[in-house]
Amino acid sequence: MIDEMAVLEVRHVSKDYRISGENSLIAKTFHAVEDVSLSVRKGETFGIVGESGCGKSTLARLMVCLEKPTSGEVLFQGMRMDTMPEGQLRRIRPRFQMVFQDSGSSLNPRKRVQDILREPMLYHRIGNRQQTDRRVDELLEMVGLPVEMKDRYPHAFSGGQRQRICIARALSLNPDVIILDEPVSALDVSVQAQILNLLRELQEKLGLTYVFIGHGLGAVHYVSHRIAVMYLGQIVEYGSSDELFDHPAHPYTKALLDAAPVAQVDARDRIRTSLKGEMDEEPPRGACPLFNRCPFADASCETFENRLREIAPGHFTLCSRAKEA
Amino acid sequence: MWKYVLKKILLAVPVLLGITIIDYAIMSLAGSPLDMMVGPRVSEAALASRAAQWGLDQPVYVQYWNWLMELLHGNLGYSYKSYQPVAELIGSHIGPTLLLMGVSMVLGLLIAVPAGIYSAVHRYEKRDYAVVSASFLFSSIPGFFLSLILIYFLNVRLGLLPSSGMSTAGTGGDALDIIRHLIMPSIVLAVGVAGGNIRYIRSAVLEILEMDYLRTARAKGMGRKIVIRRHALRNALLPIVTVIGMQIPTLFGGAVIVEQMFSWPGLGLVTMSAVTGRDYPVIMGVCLLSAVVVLASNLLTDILYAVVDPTIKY
Amino acid sequence: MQRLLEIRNLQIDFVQGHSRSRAASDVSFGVDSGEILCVVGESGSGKSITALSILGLLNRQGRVSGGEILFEGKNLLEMKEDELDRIRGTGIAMIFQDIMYSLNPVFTIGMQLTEGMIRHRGISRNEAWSEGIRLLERTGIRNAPQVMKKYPHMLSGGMRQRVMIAMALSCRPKLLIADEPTTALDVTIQYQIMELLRSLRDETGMSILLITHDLGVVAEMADRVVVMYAGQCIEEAPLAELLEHPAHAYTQSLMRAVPGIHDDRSHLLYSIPGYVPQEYGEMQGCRFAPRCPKGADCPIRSLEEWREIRPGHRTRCWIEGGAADDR
Repeated sequence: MIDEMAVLEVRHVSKDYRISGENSLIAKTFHAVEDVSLSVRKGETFGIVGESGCGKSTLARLMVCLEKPTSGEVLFQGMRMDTMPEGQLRRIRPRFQMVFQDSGSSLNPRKRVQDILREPMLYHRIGNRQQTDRRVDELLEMVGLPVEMKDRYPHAFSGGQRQRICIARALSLNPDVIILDEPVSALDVSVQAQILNLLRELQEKLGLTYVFIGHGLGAVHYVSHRIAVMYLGQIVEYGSSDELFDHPAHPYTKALLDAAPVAQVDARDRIRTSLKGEMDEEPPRGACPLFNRCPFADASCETFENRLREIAPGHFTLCSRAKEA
Repeated sequence: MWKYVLKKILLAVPVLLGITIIDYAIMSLAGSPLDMMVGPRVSEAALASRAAQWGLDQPVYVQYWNWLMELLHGNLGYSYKSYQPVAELIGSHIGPTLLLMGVSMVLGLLIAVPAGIYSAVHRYEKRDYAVVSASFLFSSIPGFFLSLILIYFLNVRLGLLPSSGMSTAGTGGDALDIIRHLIMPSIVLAVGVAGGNIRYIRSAVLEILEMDYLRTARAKGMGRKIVIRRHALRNALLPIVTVIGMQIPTLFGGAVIVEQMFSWPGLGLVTMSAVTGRDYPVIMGVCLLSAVVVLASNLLTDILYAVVDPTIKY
Repeated sequence: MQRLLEIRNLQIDFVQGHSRSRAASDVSFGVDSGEILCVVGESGSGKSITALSILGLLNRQGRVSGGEILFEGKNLLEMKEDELDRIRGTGIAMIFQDIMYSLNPVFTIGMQLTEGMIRHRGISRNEAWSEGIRLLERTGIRNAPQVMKKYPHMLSGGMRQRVMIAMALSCRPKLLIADEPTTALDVTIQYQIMELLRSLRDETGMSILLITHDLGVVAEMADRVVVMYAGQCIEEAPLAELLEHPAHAYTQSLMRAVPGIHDDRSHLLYSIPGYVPQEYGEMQGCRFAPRCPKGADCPIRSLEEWREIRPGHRTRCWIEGGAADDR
C-alpha cells in the first residue's frame, strides 16, 4: 500500500489512552485508534466519516502531530514526524494546518481578526509589518470576507464568517495540507454550502491537500475524492467517494448511508440496513468491530484475519463477506 | 469510597511535611528569640548557654530535624516563655477557638446561603441590589472596626452584652453566660465571611437558574416553586460545600484578630504573643495545627462533594 | 372541526434592557390530531422560539407581544400559571435537543421519570416506578430497571433522548413538541429515534410538532411541513407537495443547497449568497428578497398576503412561475 504520491501518510498507527477503571485501581486502556493506515495524495481531499467515538478526531490529531501515536508511523512527504525532535517539527508545522469545528471557541475572543491572522506569521517570523498587513488583506479576500472588518472582534461575525476566518488563518502560512475536523457540522445548510464551495475553490487555486473529517455524509461526499469509514477506532472501508457511496462494501457503511435522512419523497419507505443496539464500549477482539451489531454477521466474521482487502481497484473493505467486483 | 479517602489522606502527609518545612524556614528568617533577650544586663555567656539549651546554635535544618523527630515521638516541645508544654498550651486554648469558629461558621452560612439564593431568584430587582450592597458592606468593614462599633453600642451604651472574655468572672460559666459572651465576636466573624460568600452563592445559583434541566422540569408541569426548591436548590449544594470548605481556614485565621478585640481566651492570644516573642516551639505548634485544620477541611469538602455530586467518580 | 393546536398571528419580541427586536412575526399554523407537523428553518428563523412560547417556556428575554395559541380551543397565552402547569406534561409535552443538561445531573433517571406522573396522575411512587420501567422499555432501553437507578451522565446521548421521550409520554400527552431532538445525535441513533417517534404516533395517535433544520428529517417524519425564514412562516404544504413542488424561492434554494450522497461531484453546490439577516424585525417586504436568486422578478407585495398554490399548499412568495420551477 505504499503510495508514491502520498504527501501525508499514517502507517499502522494506534493511539491508546489510559483511563482509570470505575471500580478498580487498575487502569484500563481505551483504544481510540487501532492499526490505521492511510495515505493522502497531493491535491486530493481525503474524507473520514464515522460517528462519535469512532476515533476520527483522534486520528486527525495524530496526523498533524498534535499527539504522538502509541505505535505506528506518521509521515509527511516521506519524513517521519512522530519521532522528529520538537525543534525540527516546529519548523515544518506551517506546512500542515488544522481547522476545527467550533469556530466560536477556536478564535480568541479578545483579539481582533487582523491580529488573529497575523499571529502565525509573527510566531514563525515570516515577513515584516508591511508584508504581514498585506497578507492579512489578501487572506480575507481569498476567503470572501470584507477587508474593512479586519479590526473587528470574532463575536461581530456570524458562524459561517468565523469559520472563514479560521480557514484564512490556516492558509496564512501557505500550507500544503489542511486537516478540517467537522468544519461545517455546526453551520446552517445555506452557509455549509458556501463554505464547502470555498474549500473546493481554494483547493483548485492553491493546490491544497485536504483531510476532511465529518459526519454529514452529503458534505463529505461533495468535497472528498476518497473516503474512509471508521468505526470503533478502525477503518472498516475506504475507496473513492462515488464508488464507496454507490457500492458500499461493508455493512456499517451501508447502515450509515441508509440511516442518513434523505430529502426525497418515499425515502422513508426504502429498505434499510439497520444495526442492532448501541455502540459497544470496546471492539470485540479478533473480529470485525461491527460483529456484535451486524445484521449479516456469521461465524466466519469472528475468525477471519482482521485486514482490509481490496475488492475493486482502490476499494478496500474489512468485511470478509463482501464480494469482489 | 474508603479508597478515595485513604488516597487523599496519604497524599496529605507529604503536603503537611512540606508546610512545616516552609513554616520553620520563614520563622527562622524572622529572627531569633535570643534577640528578644538582649539587654544591658544580659551577658554573652548567658545568651550562649541559652542558645545551647534551646539548640539555637545549630544550623536551621538541624533545628528543624530535631523538632520533627521530637514531634514524631509525640512531643511538641516547651514554650520558651512559660516552659509549659506546647501541647498543653494549645490544648487548653483550642476549645474556645473551636467554639467561636463553629458558631461563626454556622451563623455565616445562615446569613450567606439564604441571602445568596434570594438575591439570585430575584435578580436585577431592587431587593437583589439591596442584598448585594449589604454583602459589599459586610466584606469591606474591617473586623476590628465592626468589633469596636458593636462593643460601643451593645456594651458601653446599652449594656446588653459583655464585651470581654468567655464568661463572667467569678461565675461558673454556664451555657447562657457563654452564649452572651459569644454573640458579638461570632457576629463579627460571621459577617466578615458572609460578605464574600453571599455573592459567590448568588452567582452560582444564577448559573443554575439558566440550566436547561429547569426548563425540562417546567415543561413537565412541575410548577415554579417545586422547580426551584427541588431542582435548582439541590444543585446549589455543590457551591455551598465549596463555601464551607473555604470558610474553615479563613475562620481559623480571622479568629486571631477578633479574639484580641474581645479578649476571647482562644488560640488567637496564644499565637499573637508567641509570634511577637518569637517563641519557636509554640509558633510551630500552632502552624502545625492550622495546617492540619486546612488539610482536614479540604478532605472534608472532597468527601462532601463526592456525596453531593453524583458525577464524581470515586 | 377544531384543530388540536392552532397558532394565530403570533408575535414574539426579544427584549434586552431597553431595546426590543422582533423575533417572530405573524406566525400562524396548526397541528391536527394524530398528525406530524414539521417546522423547518435555519438558525434565526424563529422556529425554536415559537415552539418554546407554546408552553410558556421562553427565557427572560423573550416576550410574546401578540397573537393567540389555542390548544383544544383554549388560548394558552391567557392562562394563569397554575392552569398552564396542568397542561404541561399532560396535554402538551416537550422534548429538547439535550446537548448535555436537559436532565438534572443530581437526580436519578427514576426520580425524574416518576416525578411528573406522581404529580399529574396521582399515582403512588411504586406504581410510577413500574410505569417508568415500562416506558423506558417502550422507548427501546434495555436493562430498564437498572437504568432507573442511574444518573444522566452515565448514559449516552441516544439513551438520554429516549429517557426524555419516556418522560414526555408518561402523562399521556395529546401533543408532543420536539425541538431538534436528533440534531446532537449520531446518524444511526437519529434514525432509531425517528422510528421510535413515528411508531409512538401510530400506536397512540399522539400528534407531534417537530422542529428541525434538516430537510432529510422532514422527509422522514412529516405529514405536513411549515417553512420558516427570518421569523416568518413562508410556506406550508403536505410533505410530498413540498418536496416535489416547492413554491417559495427560499425553499427551492434550500433544497438545492443540500449536498446529496449521490450527487454529481463535478457540479458546484448551489449556495444561497449572503447571510440570514440578524435584525429582521423592521424589514419591509419579503425578508428573503436580498438573497433571492429571482429577486429581479419579484413583484413587491405586502408581507401579509398568502398565495394558495393548491389546496393545503400556500406560500408568501409571489414570483410568477415559482411553483412550476424545477430543482
